[in-house]
Amino acid sequence: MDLYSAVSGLVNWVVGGLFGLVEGLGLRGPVVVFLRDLYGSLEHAIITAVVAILVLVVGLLMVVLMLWIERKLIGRLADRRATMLGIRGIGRGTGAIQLFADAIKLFVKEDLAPKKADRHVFAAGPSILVASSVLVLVAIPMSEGFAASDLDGGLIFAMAVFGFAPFAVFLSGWSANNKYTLIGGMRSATQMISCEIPFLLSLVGVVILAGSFRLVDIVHMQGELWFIVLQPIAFVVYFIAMISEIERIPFDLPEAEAELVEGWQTEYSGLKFAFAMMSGYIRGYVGCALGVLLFFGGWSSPVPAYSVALPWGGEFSGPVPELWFLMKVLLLFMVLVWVRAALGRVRVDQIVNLGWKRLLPLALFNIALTVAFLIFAPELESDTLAMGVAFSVPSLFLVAMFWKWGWFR
Amino acid sequence: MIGWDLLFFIIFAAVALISAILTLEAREIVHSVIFLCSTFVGVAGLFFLLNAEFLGIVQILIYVGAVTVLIAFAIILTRRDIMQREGGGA
Repeated sequence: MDLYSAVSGLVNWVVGGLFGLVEGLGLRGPVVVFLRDLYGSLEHAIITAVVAILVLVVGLLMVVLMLWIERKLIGRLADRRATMLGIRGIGRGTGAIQLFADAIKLFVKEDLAPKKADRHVFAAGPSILVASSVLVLVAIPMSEGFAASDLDGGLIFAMAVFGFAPFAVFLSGWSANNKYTLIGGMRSATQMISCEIPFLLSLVGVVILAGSFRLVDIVHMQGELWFIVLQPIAFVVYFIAMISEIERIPFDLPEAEAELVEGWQTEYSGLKFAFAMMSGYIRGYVGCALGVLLFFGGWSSPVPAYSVALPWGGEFSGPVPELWFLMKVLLLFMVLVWVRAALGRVRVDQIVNLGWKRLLPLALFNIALTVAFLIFAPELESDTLAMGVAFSVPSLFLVAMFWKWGWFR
Repeated sequence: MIGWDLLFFIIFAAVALISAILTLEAREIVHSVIFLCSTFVGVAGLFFLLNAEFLGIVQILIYVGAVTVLIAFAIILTRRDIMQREGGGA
């Protein structure tokens, strides 16, 4: 079922019930008529707002879940237990309420700004950051029905808004009037211009294969064979550039806490700091979600179709597609946490080299390979397995040869 | 009753025009760049209203991405105190 029709049914039911109650109480007159007309003209806007709030809430709940997973998993990877805070009876020893404790702490902290800071820009930085991060959620469908929008250029819209964040990071870094924040902001811009282009180019192969920028179409094209099999190089480039875009640990130069105190967010306190941190996780969710949609079949089920008869009647044929999608996203996010626990931070010159000299040629090479295969072997499109072998084996072989020739060193 | 299209057209056009003026009026060069970015976003909104989705998206993708680099150059090539001294007299 479509998200919009479901929500409009719900809203109409609630409002109709309210009006029925009002008229049942014997209240009639111009005010009730006016309210009815007002609702009639605002109905579409109200439904859109409810859908938007629903999508936002799902995103925020995912942020909470991802924060908890990150803390516990990174604790395990560092051979400790991580946060154990819990109320008696509610998740004791699981750290279930640690996040709420943190949120309350950040809510009640004083909102400080440096004396010589540019106050308006200082406040605008985290706002732009959160707004642009949340805006990407609009473009991400969780299944055919559960989508806030179905743009023809959904993928490129997500990419465009995703690339907004370094701008906001730069503004915050500059406005705090502090050398560490400024260096952090400069690093963010450097990182963005070196990794944005391979990030975009890595998607071109997928778009060529799918023949569409619509994320729903891209997922439908992966019905039989996920694009990770057809586009292994694109996935590697996407994954590395995505970590750089969301500024997580191997590439978290803008907030390198060993060198720059806390980087661009040094001067933020209270809710602004919470916003900065939250937008980082929303971007993590969005990056993983796009990775799942483009390379791991989106919401399609990874197990073959089956159905089990339930004892109370009816049939069970697997969880809802949204659940598959979220599970895949969380699995991909766990890989990010693993990467964070395993690797150290790279230097600025290293990331510029990586972006321009390694990822960009790899992405271009992948595009050329994809186009060449579609030109020389268009009939392979029917046989998916052969197509997968024909794509991935030579490309992996060539990358291995590059490795052997010392091109990556 | 004003149509939604007209309402949003007025909003986006006002954003684009006012921030274009503020781009020229701002004392601080970084503020100019921020208003420039807001102009581009307003123009992208107008493109969306005209059903030119792709053009609007590309407007955001290219212009706002380039604006970050522009800010970097604005900061590298100017010194804050010079700007303030010269701007203060005018």
